[in-house]
Amino acid sequence: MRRSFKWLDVDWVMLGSAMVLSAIGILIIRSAAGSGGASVFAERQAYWLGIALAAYLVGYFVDRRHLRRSAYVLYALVLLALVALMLVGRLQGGVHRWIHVGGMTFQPSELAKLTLILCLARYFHKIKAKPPLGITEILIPFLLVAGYAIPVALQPDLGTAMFLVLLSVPLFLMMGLERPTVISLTIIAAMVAPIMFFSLKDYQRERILNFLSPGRDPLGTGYHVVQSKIAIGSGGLFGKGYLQGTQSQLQFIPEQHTDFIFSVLAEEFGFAGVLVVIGLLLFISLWMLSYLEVAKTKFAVLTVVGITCGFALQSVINIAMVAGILPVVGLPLPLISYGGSSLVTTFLGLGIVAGYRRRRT
Amino acid sequence: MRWNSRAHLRLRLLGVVLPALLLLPLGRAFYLQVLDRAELKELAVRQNRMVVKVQPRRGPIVDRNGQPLAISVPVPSVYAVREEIQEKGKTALLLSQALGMKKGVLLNKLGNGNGFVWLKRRVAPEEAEKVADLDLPGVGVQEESRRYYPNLELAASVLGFVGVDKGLEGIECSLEDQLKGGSSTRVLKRDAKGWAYTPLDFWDSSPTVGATVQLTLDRSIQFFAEQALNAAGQKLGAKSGSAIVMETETGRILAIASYPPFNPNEFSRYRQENFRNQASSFIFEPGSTFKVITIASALEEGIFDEKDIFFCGNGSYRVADATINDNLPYGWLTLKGILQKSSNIGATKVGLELGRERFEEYARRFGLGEKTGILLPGEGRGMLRKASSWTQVDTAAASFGQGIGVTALQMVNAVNAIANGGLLMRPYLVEKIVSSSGEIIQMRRPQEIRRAISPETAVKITRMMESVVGPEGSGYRARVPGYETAGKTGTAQKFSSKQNGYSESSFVASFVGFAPSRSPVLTVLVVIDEPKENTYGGVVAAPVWAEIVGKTLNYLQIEPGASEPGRPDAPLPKGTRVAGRPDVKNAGAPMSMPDLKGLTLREALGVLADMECGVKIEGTGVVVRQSPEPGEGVAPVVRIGLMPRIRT
Repeated sequence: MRRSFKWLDVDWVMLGSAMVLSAIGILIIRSAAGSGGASVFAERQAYWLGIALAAYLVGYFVDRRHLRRSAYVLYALVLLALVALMLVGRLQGGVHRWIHVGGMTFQPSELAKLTLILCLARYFHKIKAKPPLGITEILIPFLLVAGYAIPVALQPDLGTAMFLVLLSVPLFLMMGLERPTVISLTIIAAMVAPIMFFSLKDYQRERILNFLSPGRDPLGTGYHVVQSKIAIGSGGLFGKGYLQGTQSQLQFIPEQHTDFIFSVLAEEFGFAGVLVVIGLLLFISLWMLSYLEVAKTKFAVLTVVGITCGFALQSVINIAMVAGILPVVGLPLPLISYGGSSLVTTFLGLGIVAGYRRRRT
Repeated sequence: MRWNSRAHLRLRLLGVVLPALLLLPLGRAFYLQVLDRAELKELAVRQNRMVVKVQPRRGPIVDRNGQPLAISVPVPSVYAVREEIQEKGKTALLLSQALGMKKGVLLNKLGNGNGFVWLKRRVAPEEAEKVADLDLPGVGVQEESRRYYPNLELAASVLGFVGVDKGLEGIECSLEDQLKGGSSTRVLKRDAKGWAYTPLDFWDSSPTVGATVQLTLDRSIQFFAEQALNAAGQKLGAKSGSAIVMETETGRILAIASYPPFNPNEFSRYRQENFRNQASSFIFEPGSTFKVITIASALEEGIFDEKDIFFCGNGSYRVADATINDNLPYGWLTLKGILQKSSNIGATKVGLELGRERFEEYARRFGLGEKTGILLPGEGRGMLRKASSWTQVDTAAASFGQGIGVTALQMVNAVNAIANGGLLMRPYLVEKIVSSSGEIIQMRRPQEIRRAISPETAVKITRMMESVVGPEGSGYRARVPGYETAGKTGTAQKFSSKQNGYSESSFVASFVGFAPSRSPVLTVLVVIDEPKENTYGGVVAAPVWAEIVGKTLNYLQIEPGASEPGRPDAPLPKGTRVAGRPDVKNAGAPMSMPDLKGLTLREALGVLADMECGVKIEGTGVVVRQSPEPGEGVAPVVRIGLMPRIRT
């Protein structure tokens, strides 16, 4: 069945907001990872933004049935990449999160966030059982989640692995779970948590302990959060001005162009800048939620919910971690942080959500 | 689609939960940035500001012609930022090889505490290069400055040297504050590694460059003096020695040589004794050179005049319970003869007639018993006891320079007063101090201390001293071909506390004098302590004196024979000097009044224009009166009286 697409139908509000945030992101990357206004990182991020726009259009124009049908295949392709990276990691040692494609690097674990949602939506779309779901009925989606989370955790990238698990929660909740299921899952989680904690690597355990008590080792492992808080706080209401942040320009903040970019924003543009960025993130989240009105299939609803929740949760977790109210888990701030994979995946997700409006006409 | 109503409810719930979640970090940001900001800002400032002690670059020391004597050159130093070090053991091992240090020492430095630490300061360029090539995290090389003395031993005992951060001897020590440079702390931005963020040109543009100290020394004259003294010191196996060249009219020190020498670039290889400036710190009994003071005092007092003759006891003379001896027996001698032959007995008779009170008074008028105030650490005061405690034997011994102690500097300055027409000058070593911005901080002008004797007496004693250098005199070896010179030998027995009396074997030999004697330019003293081969000042010190004076006069282009020996009794008018005098331009020396009489007002003002004095004019026409009179010193305000020229 052929449809005629109209370019004017592209959701300009959503695309515009996302572009504004990305542009702010590039500006801050330039400040955070450059010297004298020149920054390779900002330049690269701009290239990635071009690719991300293409990804948005792909997500926007792709046929919904094709998307639904190919969900398992996409899941499998990404899984393959994750397992391959994990094996390489096992064999060679060190951390392996990127695959190299023609001079560019890509992080499959970013894409995994999207394919997991699509795959779970696809599974629940076809499920026979009536909700709320019992423990046996969630076994297969559980395995799907674990299929991603385990190789990612072994990279090791525990933060992303945990986030993948978290991503699936809104979908399960949308489907509804039986009360005994919820209770038993809670008990299992409570039992697993301490075991997990002690099987963590030293640096991972340090992060959690430091989160619980940040002053514990201010010059050592608690350094990130202390410095980040100082940067944010010293920004005050209106900030120190672009490229004027003392903490960021003097490199007190770790990973300041990726995970901790929010602190650079907060230092240089102050609470006013923070208000604008969080406002835009909130606006995009709510704008995406409004697509539920036009989502006709269960797959569509679950996809929109999954992508929106993923976007919003990742934003919240990133800022909370940078501002010292969650442990440092290594998630980028969507649209702002440096990183092509994250940017492309986010835009692809936005495109997929926006694609549902097209169907109304 | 609506697969059940509960799902629908949950969707609505989502519209509330998501915004609520996003407001959480917003609230947190509000708390940090608005409510808690004062404290966090304070923390930020505290950690990105750093007050550092900046090593200012030490100012240079130059000679009177601006030739460098001590300069600061940049040298690399190796430091570590300890928390940046990744493998302490490996880092220490690699550095120990590159720097030639013990690994344990390095480990110690790396092990204690956090932050910045110097590992090795002032390393060789090759070592710094090796360290840079290792490219170890947390280890860096920083340029510092190092003191360098380009002329090696030259003037070392005047210059002194600099320890790690501070001048330890000589001018480096006494002018530490000026050379070091003023404020040396600075607030810098500092980055997360704790390393100061400095602009690239920080070390160059730093205003904390110390001042330039210009000495009165002349590198060439200093070289002549050291060359002659060192050669003699070695040849004679002397214990120590010194030579001073002073500019007669001003008291400027043109050279101070001290033996044994040392190389300040490698000061740690020498013993402490080498660092002593013998000229200002070694106190000795002057011996016969002091007879010029004794006789000058007697002449000034009018007790004797040149025609008086003295019976010199044929070599032996009893004073109280002591016997005074001469080296050779002399019968009747004039004052000139006493000086020329250096008769102790003659000097004793003059000294005893002078009396102990006047003797002490004159010694003090010649600047003995007080420090000259030269800017060298550890200057000696000498030894001059109160006259009231002198016995007759003490007075007798003092007449020929035993029983009193002087430094070479005091002695040369005392004789300089005779050369300078009786005016005692304040000797000085530092011409001026100029800040790094070119501002003159201090400028020395010649300074008179007092008149010791009258110009007439000075001329009389000068004539006598000329005879010492004459063919019959004890100091004939001090002759300088082509120039007339005046001087006096000295050979003093050293007091030995072991023998509780004067030693028969250890002497201080010296020669002091000035040249050209009719219009002195230089006053020079050579002191040689405990020469082994020969002991007489006339034999040991006089040739050294002649070598220094000859070379220096030649270097200063003082014309031979310019001293008008044809007018033996003409007073030496102060300030009227022959052509070719050194360094008149910046001399700032007291000038004498020219004869203005007969000049028109315009002409007179033209002459006075160079004298930096005020002029008070009375009348019109040509100058008929002037105050001060011609030949006197220039007063701050010169009065001239004019009268209309009478046409005839």
